[in-house]
Amino acid sequence: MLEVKDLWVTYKSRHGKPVTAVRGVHITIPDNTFIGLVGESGCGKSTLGFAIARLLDGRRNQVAGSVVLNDVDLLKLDERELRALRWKKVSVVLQGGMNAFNPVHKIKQQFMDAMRAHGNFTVTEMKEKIALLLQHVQLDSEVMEMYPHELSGGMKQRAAIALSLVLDPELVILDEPTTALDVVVQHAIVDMLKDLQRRLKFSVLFISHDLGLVLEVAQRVMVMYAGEIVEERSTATLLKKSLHPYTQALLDCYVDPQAEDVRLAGIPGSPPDLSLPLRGCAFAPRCAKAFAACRDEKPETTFGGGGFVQCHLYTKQGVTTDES
Amino acid sequence: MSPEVIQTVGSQAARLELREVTKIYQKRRRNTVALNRVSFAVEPGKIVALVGESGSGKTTIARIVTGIERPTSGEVSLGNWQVETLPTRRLREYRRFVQMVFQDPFSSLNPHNTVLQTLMRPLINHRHFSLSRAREQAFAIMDTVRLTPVEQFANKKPHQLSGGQRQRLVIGRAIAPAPQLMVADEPVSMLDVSIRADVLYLIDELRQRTGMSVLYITHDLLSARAVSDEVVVLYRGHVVERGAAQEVIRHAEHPYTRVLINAIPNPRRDMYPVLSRDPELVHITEAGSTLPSSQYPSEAGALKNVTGTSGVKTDVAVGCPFIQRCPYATSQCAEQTPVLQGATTHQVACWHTGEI
Ligand SMILES: Nc1ncnc2c1ncn2[C@@H]1O[C@H](COP(=O)(O)OP(=O)(O)OP(=O)(O)O)[C@@H](O)[C@H]1O
Ligand SMILES: Nc1ncnc2c1ncn2[C@@H]1O[C@H](COP(=O)(O)OP(=O)(O)OP(=O)(O)O)[C@@H](O)[C@H]1O
Ligand code: SF4
Ligand SMILES: [Mg+2]
Ligand SMILES: [Mg+2]
Repeated sequence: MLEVKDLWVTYKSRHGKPVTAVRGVHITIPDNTFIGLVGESGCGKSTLGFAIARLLDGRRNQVAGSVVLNDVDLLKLDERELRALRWKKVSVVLQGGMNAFNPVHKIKQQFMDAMRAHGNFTVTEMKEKIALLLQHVQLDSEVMEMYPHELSGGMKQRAAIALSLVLDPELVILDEPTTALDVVVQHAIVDMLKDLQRRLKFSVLFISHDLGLVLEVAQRVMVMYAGEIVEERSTATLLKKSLHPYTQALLDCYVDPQAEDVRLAGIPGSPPDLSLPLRGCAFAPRCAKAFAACRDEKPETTFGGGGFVQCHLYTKQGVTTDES
Repeated sequence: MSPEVIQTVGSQAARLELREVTKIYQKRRRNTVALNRVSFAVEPGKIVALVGESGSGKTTIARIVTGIERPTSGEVSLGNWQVETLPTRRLREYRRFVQMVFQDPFSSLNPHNTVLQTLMRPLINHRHFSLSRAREQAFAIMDTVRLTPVEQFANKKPHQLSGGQRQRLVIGRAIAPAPQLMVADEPVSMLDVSIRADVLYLIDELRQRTGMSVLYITHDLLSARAVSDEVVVLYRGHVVERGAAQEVIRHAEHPYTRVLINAIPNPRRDMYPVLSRDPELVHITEAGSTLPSSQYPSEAGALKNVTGTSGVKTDVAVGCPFIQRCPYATSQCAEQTPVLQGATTHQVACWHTGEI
């Protein structure tokens, strides 16, 4: 189980103002769970993923809070302890990671490098393991003898997912693993991932800006806005009743293409500048349900419905909500 | 949009027509048939969506329509322009009338130019406006594409704009020369779902007001349904289904179109009619996912290498291009290439139309 408590991340740069991309995040990722993290571009999804995997340079950026994996606070580990943990406990497929394969090496080489760094395997053992992993992601074992440029985008993405599983991690963080691919390939990969996670029982943190896609694969969903998690609950509950107006607005962007009338919806306005301090609810300027308190006071977290929501509609007294 | 803008932005309507367009890319060992006898038209002032997965030939069509590339055979016309035979020296003139909007709004903008400069340039270059008139018109376009308040946006550079704002700038630049046709190649696929509608409806609004025609290229059937009049479904360079957007998407006949519909992320999928939940189709994944790349589909598997009378090897398609992925294929599908059949409002190229 992974527990993130009051996590803050601020990027400091020599030019320009510091950007606080993660703002007091509390989350729990249980074992054997497929959890999705969604939100618009720039809301801090990758930053949160990086911080959990300790991929941010602590000297240049300010990271505060705790990230506890099985009683170990990852933020307190030194480099050596961290290296032992990577791949084995937590592995990451970075955004655009399918292009991270070294073009001059065969696919198997990149798997073997990771295996050699973390254990004693014979070449035969390694090849068997690679073949099994490729099979898991529905690739032919021949792929291990190929070079990255010989693979299509979808195949590369599958190979990248297989690589992240090479040392049987407990948690795999996948940052926009299908965004660059076309809908049909995306659908196929996501189906494969869902099936694989249910069979092998690791946990997945699936980062995407596409709520529709996340709802098709994830068991739980976290919705992020301006550096904060504004709603978290199970996919089934969210589909039945989402509470945060932002989640509702995101859901309204999806319509049935075969409906009688199809009118696309959007969310007017744009997210706030994360280099500035935020006042009240960060979503208030775009929120159709905002009222006075929303602009001035930061909403507290309200628990219920097997999750939580951060919105004044559910904390302020005297406000009628459509919850009853 | 003020009436004055409509007047100055306004373009004459023109019909785009492709007739039997084939494009073959010569490679060292074998040729790729990127387009195979593609025919369709965009009526004046209409939006036609060209949909299909990666590598189906969508961008190749865009390049041929804009005159960047010439077809191997077939004809392309826009109004009175006969595009495929246009002499190179006249291409520049032609391109004023066909404007492109690309997927990545960032890389298609010059990072050093301000919004105002970006919009003034085509007015000066293509329409020979004076500086002051171009400036005035540029402000009017900013207003039209909702880069407002205009004074605030005029001096911003691309990196100071959000993704949606950048794409609106690209669209503004595209309408500046008063084109007859806008070719938008995946204009929103890099944008957040929350701002796609805004950009797409802007394109829709502009064509209604200016009368330009739009070729909207996408792999997203939902957005195609929302803004287009007609849909053309492309699979490996073949038009496999086409017709009124409503018809093609609500009553999809070709198994491939159904695969595309099924792949659209949709939280309310349970509301789908049974049609697209066909269990066989749910399991059709991307072609070649379990195959090594030597068999990956960019070249149709149904291609047979034949040596023509001239002795030049050319791949000729035999049978249905979808046969390898189709759960309904029969021997007829392997032997004969299906052709588009049906009323003009809805045509399908499948031997088993109506049976599946
Ligand atoms: N190295 C950095 N230095 C300064 N600011 C950064 C850095 N990386 C990201 N940011 C800023 O932090 C914020 C969050 O960025 P992040 O990449 O986490 O967003 P995201 O939700 O993953 O977006 P996307 O969907 O576009 O990938 C953005 O405002 C971004 O501009
Ligand atoms: N210059 C070229 N030389 C050789 N083959 C090419 C060339 N351009 C395109 N092709 C091939 O033609 C086919 C169609 O490509 P095209 O770029 O038109 O597809 P697309 O539908 O736009 O795909 P995407 O959705 O990935 O943009 C592909 O098989 C591609 O590999
Ligand atoms: S023609 Fe045959 S192979 Fe092609 S789509 Fe129809 S049934 Fe399938
Ligand atoms: Mg990101
Ligand atoms: Mg393309």
